Amino acid sequence: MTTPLLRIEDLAIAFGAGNRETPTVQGVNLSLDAGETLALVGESGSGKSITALSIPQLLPYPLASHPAGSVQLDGEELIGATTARLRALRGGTLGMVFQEPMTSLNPLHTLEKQIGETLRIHQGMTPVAARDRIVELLELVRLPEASARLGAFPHQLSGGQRQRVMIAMAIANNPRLLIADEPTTALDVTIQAEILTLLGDLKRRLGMAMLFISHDLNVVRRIADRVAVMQQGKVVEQGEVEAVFSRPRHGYTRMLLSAEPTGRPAAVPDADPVLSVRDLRVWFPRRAGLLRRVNSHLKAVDGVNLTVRPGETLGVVGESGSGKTTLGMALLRLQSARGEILFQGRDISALDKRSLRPLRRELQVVFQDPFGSLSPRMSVEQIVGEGLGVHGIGRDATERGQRARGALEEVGLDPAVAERFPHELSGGQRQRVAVARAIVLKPRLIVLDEPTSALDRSVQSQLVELLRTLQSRHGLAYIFISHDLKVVRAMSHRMIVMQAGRVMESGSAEQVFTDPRDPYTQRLLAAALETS
Amino acid sequence: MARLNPINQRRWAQFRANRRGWWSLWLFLVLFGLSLGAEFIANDRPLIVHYDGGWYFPVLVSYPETTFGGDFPTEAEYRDPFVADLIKADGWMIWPPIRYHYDTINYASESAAPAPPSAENWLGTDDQARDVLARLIYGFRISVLFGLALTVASSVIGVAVGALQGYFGGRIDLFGQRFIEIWAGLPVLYLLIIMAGFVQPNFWWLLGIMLLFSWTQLVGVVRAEFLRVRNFDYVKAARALGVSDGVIIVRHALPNAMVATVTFMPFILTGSITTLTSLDFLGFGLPPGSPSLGELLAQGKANLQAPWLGLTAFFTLAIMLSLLVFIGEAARDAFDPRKTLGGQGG
Repeated sequence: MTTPLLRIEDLAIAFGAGNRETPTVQGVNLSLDAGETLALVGESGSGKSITALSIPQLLPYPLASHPAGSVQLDGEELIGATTARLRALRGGTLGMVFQEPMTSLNPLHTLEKQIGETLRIHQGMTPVAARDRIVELLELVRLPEASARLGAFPHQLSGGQRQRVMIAMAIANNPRLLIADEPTTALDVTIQAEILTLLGDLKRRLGMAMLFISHDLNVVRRIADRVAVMQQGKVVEQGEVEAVFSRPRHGYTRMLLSAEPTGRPAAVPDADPVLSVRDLRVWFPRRAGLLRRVNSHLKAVDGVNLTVRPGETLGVVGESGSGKTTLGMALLRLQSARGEILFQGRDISALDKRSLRPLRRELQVVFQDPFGSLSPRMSVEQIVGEGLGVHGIGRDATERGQRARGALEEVGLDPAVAERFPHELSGGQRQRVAVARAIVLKPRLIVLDEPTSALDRSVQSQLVELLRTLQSRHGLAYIFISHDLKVVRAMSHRMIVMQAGRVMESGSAEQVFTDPRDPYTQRLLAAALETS
Repeated sequence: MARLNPINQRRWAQFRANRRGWWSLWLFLVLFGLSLGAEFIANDRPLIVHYDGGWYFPVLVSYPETTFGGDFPTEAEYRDPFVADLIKADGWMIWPPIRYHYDTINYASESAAPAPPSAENWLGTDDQARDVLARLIYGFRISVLFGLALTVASSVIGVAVGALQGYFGGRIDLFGQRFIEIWAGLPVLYLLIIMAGFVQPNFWWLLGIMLLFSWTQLVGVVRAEFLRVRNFDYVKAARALGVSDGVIIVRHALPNAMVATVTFMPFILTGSITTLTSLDFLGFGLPPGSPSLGELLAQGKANLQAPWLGLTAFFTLAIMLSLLVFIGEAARDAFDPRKTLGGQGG
């Protein structure tokens, strides 16, 4: 039997030092042959990323340590290898692509400098020789107009293009192993599909092995040969992709596979709209020239009309930059906008701060990032009760505390959570706290801005279930902003599809999904189905 | 909130883990505490007098000499052998460990002023025959109090201005920044010299004038923190709840800026003390006769034949500033997220 390209044996990773040491990963065995793709799958906190980062020894040593195990690349032990040797491997034999294309590139370097650096370090290329190779690489990753873009800076590229540049850097020195840590997670669906295709092609052409880390099972199914499922720092199941997906043996794998949000929202009776918006526009002036005169506008939201009835969910779908979040903020009057916003028959678009305050109670919001939307220095009870204090609901602090606990119970949390601080809660629990903060005020309309995007699939479906229950119990109207079509389908009665600030298509969710009319919607649905 | 939340508990533990800073804090607090009671340590009046069956507390109350059977209705000169004998004849008195106030002139000194250290004057006397140790204790107190007052006042103003600029942004921020740039460009020292020509600067005058220019130190960091925080989701969520701007600033945004502020404070304190000392050294500081470390330094420079003056001032300043810097370092460690939240990587 030949030695595999990468062999990880009984790997353990611990963080902290002395008696505060916490084991994070334990007893991981993985092997990867040349030309093979192994996917590492698991929910957040399962240890998949740090397992991958321990291969090039990029963990924050000495805070992190390996109490046991070995990592061998081509028979060479990497744990305890010299820094010089590791530096030669990183970017050479080992290529890496990270999740965030925004922060993985140095914003002050041109593409040529960015990619040229690794060529200079590992192959000692002269700038002139490197230039040809860079163009070749950029063409290989199919960056349009590659030779004209050598002097471009990262901010002049889109997210997908940046990820292509990252891939070009990773493959510049013909690596034998490419580690891709959630390379498509931050990208829009249409671009995700392109990047996946590109990675698959490159792997075949260059004969690389690939370690592909993802939480998205659909992506894994498309790209990987074998898959290893991780849970709480252990590999609970591994095998051929088809085998694992069709006959999952471990309960956790089965749970992951069945964790898609399903079902449809309950039907709602006809009623007068709680919110109707006519010709809403948010234009950001673009200034140019010496006098900073406004010469054009960035039309983030451009002439949007919509209505929401009580008990109804309006899904707002679009790729990043389509203006869907700006639309949500404008509806909440957190972003100045022009146009008419009729909330319960009253135009709120021109109200000043003071007269708007009573209405804030009925118009609530839940944000995307459960880590960012809760003040880290306040206890859960203070967070949930804050709005009650502002609007003078409840006679005294005790009653407000009771109401806050009641709301926590309603969103399925143990009221004992009230004493705790946000950092002691999981992502799903935090998002429930954010929902509790909104519903404790008994609002009529809640703007949900990507409430499920930062959560694991299994937690997503629970949250969708909760939101639907709350809706039918209180007759809440939702504006559900998301790029995730599956979740939108499970939540929405009607939906609008946005692109570049305009509504491309609107109608009942069922009709848009089964019979999309607009070409953009058709493309979006096709891409989403392709990755699924 | 009465209880320390977990983050602050961890910070406190981290602060204590820096042994040097922890001991420096205690040492400084003890020294400062002692100097606050300077009147009871170094004074030219006894603490307690028992005379003719009555109890007297000259440290706290002024008694005329006639009380003790003297001739003059003016305040008693307890150091005067004549008065001392009068009291001893019919009672006793307890003196502080150092029998000199900062402005007490030792007329009984046997050598010419400045006199070298002796059993009577432990650190010698200065060129006006005043006890150096007594002046040192009072000088230390006034330096630290000045530093603390200036630090607190300039932090309060700086944080408030930074918070307003950062939170509201836009025009307020633009004009605020330009104003600070111009303001920071003014030559403080010349202004002080000019002011010293108009008024006789006392403690409060100096504090006010220094405050005019020192508040800008914190504006930058606080403003940057607020610019970052105002786009956080939890601030947006608070606005969506209808929370007013003032409450958002205090409750949601300010705690973020406090980390930077508290980390900076010990260093602002050392800066303030150094400023006062250098002004005194140059002669533009506290009024003549005040006990001050800068004035002692100046005397040391003028009397190189009396090295105890210069050395005393030097060591006092060096030790005090080092202690404060060590405390500052420990505070900085305590607020360093990489150290406090260590072990949560991954």
